[in-house]
Amino acid sequence: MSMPKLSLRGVKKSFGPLEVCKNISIDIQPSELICLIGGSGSGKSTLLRCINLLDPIDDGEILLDGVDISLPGYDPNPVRRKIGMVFQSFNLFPHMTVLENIKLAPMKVKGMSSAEITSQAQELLERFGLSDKADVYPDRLSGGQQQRAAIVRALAMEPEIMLLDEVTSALDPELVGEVLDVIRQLKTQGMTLMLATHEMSFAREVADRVCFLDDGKLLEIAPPEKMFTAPEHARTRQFLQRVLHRERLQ
Amino acid sequence: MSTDTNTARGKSPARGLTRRQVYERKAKQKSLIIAAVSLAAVVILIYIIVPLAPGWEGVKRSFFNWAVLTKTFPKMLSAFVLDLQLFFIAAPLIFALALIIALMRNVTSAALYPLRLFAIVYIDVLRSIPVILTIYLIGFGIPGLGLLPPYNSPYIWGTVALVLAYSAYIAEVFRTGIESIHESQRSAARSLGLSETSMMRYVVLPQAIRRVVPTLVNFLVALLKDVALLSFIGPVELLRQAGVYKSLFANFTPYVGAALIFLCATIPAIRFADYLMAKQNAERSR
Amino acid sequence: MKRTLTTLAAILLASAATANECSTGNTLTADTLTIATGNPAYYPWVIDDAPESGNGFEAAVAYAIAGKMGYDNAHVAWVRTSFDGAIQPGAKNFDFNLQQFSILPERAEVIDFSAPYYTTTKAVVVTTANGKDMTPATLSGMKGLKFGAGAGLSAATFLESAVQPMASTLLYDDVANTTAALQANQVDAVIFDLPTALFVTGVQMDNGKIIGQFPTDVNDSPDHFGLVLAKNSPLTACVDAALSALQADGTMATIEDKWLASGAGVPVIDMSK
Ligand SMILES: Nc1ncnc2c1ncn2[C@@H]1O[C@H](COP(=O)(O)OP(=O)(O)O)[C@@H](O)[C@H]1O
Ligand SMILES: [Mg+2]
Repeated sequence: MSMPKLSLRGVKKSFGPLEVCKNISIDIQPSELICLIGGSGSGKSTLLRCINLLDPIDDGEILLDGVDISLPGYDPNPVRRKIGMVFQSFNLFPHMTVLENIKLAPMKVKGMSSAEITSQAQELLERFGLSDKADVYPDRLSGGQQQRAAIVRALAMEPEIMLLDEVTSALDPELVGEVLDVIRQLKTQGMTLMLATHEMSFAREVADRVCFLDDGKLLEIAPPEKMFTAPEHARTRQFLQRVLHRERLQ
Repeated sequence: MSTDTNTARGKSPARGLTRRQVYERKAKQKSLIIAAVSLAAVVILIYIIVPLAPGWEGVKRSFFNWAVLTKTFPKMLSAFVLDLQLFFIAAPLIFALALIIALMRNVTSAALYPLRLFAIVYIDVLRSIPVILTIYLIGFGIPGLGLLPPYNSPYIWGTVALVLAYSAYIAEVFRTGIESIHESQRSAARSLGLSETSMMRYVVLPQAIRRVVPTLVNFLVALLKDVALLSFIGPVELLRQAGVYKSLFANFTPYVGAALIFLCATIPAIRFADYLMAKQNAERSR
Repeated sequence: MKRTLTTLAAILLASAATANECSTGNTLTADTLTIATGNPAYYPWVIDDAPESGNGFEAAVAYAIAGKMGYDNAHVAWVRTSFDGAIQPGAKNFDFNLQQFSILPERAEVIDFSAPYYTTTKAVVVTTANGKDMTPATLSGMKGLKFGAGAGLSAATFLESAVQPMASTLLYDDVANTTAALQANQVDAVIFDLPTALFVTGVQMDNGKIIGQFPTDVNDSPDHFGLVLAKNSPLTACVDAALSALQADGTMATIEDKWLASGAGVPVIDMSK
């Protein structure tokens, strides 16, 4: 196997007395799609934020292409150029149009010219079915459109890894599909992806491996068929039963 | 036949208004009439009752003296130009300084802690001192240190005092604005690789400032009125000019004239602030 | 015994009343003359802010007028008012008020003035430190100065009509602030009435100097100080009568000599140059 794109080694993170990530280790290969599942509060968001260097970890290391990016004092901004992140609640900037949202970082961070990035942004918007929304402010978009725009905004920085944190959780059910389509597209293009999700059937469909987080511990890593049919831990089974039951009811 | 049913269901045949629109229009007309009638009643009552007071003739002569007003008004208007000049010089300086102080107040890195401490002390001290005292102390005190003309001018130091006092208030306004921007906006900006400075400049500040504009307009109104305080250290602006005329004519009408001038200048601004506030509320509840 | 006291009181009252028919029944309080001064009242007009002592020019003038009107010192009451308090509409809380009110025709429309009890010129004060110590003082020299003055003291209007200085005049609330501005070099020169100027340069400032007084034949100069009374007060005539009697018998001149420094040596500004 080639060098992992991203490696977590014994990552620990606490908020005061509360241990949120307990010694988490995992290697992620280039173009791999990892799904993080687990109950609410199990630490999925925190783990993704740590990888994006939004929250500093307390112990352990995070290696990007073999380089430790979690060293205290390491400049986070070059790392964030390579690792894009999209959040659960829509973090589009409300005072900018969709196009301005997309152009901001490439212009200010990469120093791209407005013309350069505009044509690139138009292409992305087209690809994700948003070409007529370029000059619209976020509050005029549906939730699904906003989330797709947020993904496009992250993609415009041409990241090597995308972290998606429950990007469909805040959406009306009929809008979930269009966002999941976008993720499928990204996978097809060979993007390395890590997503926290509650969409179990989607995880089963697209994930290369599924990670079950329980109370800050990475309890189980397995390919989806194994995770969803024959999980090793009783805790995993319990969790899956609960959510799959709910999913069937819907 | 079908149009008839339509009408019955609520389409006004004349204008094609819905039943709701017709109802609302009538209700609005009615409330307008009631408001106009009651306002007229109050005005008429004041107009009749106040002159019945035994001292009315004296008050009229001393406060509402047409002859004095017409004699003093032109010069007071030109004195108000000085207020406006001082205002338009002070306001941008205030905003710039307030923004710097608010940003200093917001720094988180330990190395820059002295800046933060300075901002805290600055805001606390200047907000605790009445503006007029700041003007006295700086406007008289600093030139007294032995500065030579023109650097000891009360115009300069009075303006400096106003800028210091108001920037402390407005820095707090900016700070609340900055803090009202949700953490997720910062996370989103950071995750895109924006530096702290870019994040502030392009993401946080534009939203924060937009949010506090109504408050800022209110402070601008207060500032325009407080420019008059500079008269205590020498400049003959509207309030002082009115005082001179009051003393010359032994009559308070110039003060009423000054009040009118301030009213004309500030009421539009106040209405504008209200309008902005209402607009923001509407946007937020959408 | 009791009856003798009552009789005595009646006689005293009668004597007070007969002393000046003019004011009887017209004072604020029967048998008492209520006189107002500033708050605070300044040297040399009232010494130590204590008009009851009779010390200071205006305090002495007030008691002299009261005496002529038939009120001995025990029948004089003092109150304090600001300038605004003196001119506000409504009943006054004084019979007359003296705090260097200049007699101006505009003011006379809302208040009564007595005849002048003192006439003075306006004087220009500089500091010897600021290099504006120009002697002899001339009109053209004055035009180049940046002036400061008290806002209540008709000086602003006077400067505008008589001098027309190039720089706009700065105005202050009181003598102390005006002097402070001069000492801080924020103005080149300040204008006071001559007695105040003599006091300020003689007592308050180390380096103050009067460079000249304006001649008596320019606009609004000299300043005539008058007592202020309510508009159409019946007392105005009584006060005027008392004043002219005091002037005739030389009392006014004596009081002036006693309380006001002589401005005899102060040069007159040459308005022709
Ligand atoms: N900034 C923070 N400060 C304190 N506690 C936090 C913070 N962020 C998350 N937590 C806590 O950490 C735990 C894990 O949260 P999170 O990572 O959001 O879980 P998940 O995304 O799996 O629902 C929760 O108990 C949460 O309350
Ligand atoms: Mg979460």
